[in-house]
Amino acid sequence: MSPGDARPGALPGPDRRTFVQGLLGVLAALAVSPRAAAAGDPPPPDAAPILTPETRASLAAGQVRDYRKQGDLFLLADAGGIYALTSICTHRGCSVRWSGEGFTCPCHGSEYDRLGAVTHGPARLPLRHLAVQEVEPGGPLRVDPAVTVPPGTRL
Amino acid sequence: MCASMDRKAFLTLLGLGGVAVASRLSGFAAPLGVLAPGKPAPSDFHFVQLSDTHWGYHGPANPDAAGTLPRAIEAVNGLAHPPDFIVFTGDLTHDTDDPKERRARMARFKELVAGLAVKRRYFLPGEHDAGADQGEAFRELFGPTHYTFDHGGFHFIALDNVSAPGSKLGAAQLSWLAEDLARLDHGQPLVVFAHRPLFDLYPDWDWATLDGADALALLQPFRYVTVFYGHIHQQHHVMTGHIAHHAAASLIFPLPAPGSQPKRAPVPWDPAAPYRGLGLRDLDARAGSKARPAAEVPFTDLPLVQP
Ligand code: FES
Repeated sequence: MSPGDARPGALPGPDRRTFVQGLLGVLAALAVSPRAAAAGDPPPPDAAPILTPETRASLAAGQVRDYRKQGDLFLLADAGGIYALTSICTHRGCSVRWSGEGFTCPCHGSEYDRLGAVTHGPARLPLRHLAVQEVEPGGPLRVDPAVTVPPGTRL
Repeated sequence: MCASMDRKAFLTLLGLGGVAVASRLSGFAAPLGVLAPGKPAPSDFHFVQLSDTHWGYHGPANPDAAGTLPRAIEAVNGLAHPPDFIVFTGDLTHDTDDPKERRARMARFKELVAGLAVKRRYFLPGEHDAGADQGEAFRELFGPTHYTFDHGGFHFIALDNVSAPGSKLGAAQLSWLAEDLARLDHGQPLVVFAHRPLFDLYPDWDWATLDGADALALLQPFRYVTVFYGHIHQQHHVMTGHIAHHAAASLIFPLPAPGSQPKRAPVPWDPAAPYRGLGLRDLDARAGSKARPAAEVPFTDLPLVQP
């Protein structure tokens, strides 16, 4: 009973296509393959490294930057340095929101602290920490949602 | 055709009171380019939207969960004029962690809706169908999660803002949409279906699509665009610019008005007024003609009531 004259959407394929991400003008590669997004699992479909306009100097301890639209992630800084967290809830994959103290998921109410640890279920697994790099010393920060790093990692 | 008067009369006999809403797509003048000169005007037609049936739900918010969908099917089959098609705007089934049970619910749902006296049925996933497996079971049972089709002078676009992690359409689907729209004249009337709202209705309750604004930007150049969606279990009408967005009632339990209470929780079932807040939507599609140029999709929301 699939739709009568419906044309299928862009289905997962092996080829990666490039496009320009409007706001930042960042080139991103698309891999279109739906997968689970729990900690340790393969990255979400649009996962491609994103280039942010932030630098090591522009992010002070306590600051949080929302890059959910560009790459399903948040960029944060604490006393130890800069780190990135996926914004994808480990329960059912909704996009979590910054609450001012931590992250909350609007779908079923999971909560995480600012390090991504679960403080309230139903989620059981923490938010993944993602690899953050400087493109060049002092230059803009690049985050790769496909690369999970240990929670203590800081730039 | 415009059989709406007949239909309304008939529905009254059925015990279905209707609330009509005229969704004028725009105040613009003639949609040049919609109708090639000399071509006959596309005939008007009607279709039905059902939403959020949550097949498999058990809970106090609807003690007749298993009876509600059959009741809605009966109501559709009782319409004086059968609709050209039916669209289900997501959350066909209630979610479960068990992949087998998920497929069993979808299969049973399919069996039930096969009883609809209508030739074509279009299905969209909701996050309850697709959230646990990124739409895998849905695609197995219902086919693609986003697609387009043309009918009666309208171009219909079904968008999937639930399967990709991150509460979004995703870059791949957005470029697919851009490609689809690129070949169309801006006077082409469009009807868009989605599960979640494409605009920020109330993000704290997950009533938003993270990259919905990107889809609306692609739709913006078109003069006649209406979006019909579900997810919020209540009727809701908003314009973003000239684009109209209409949420439909659910067929399981109503939810409170956006942000009207601290928590998003079902409106309790009222034994004195069973099925209150549940219903279906009957839509007239008028693609426009030389004599009546503006395309429009007026609709009537039909509450489910006790027989
Ligand atoms: S998806 Fe986040 S709590 Fe369920």
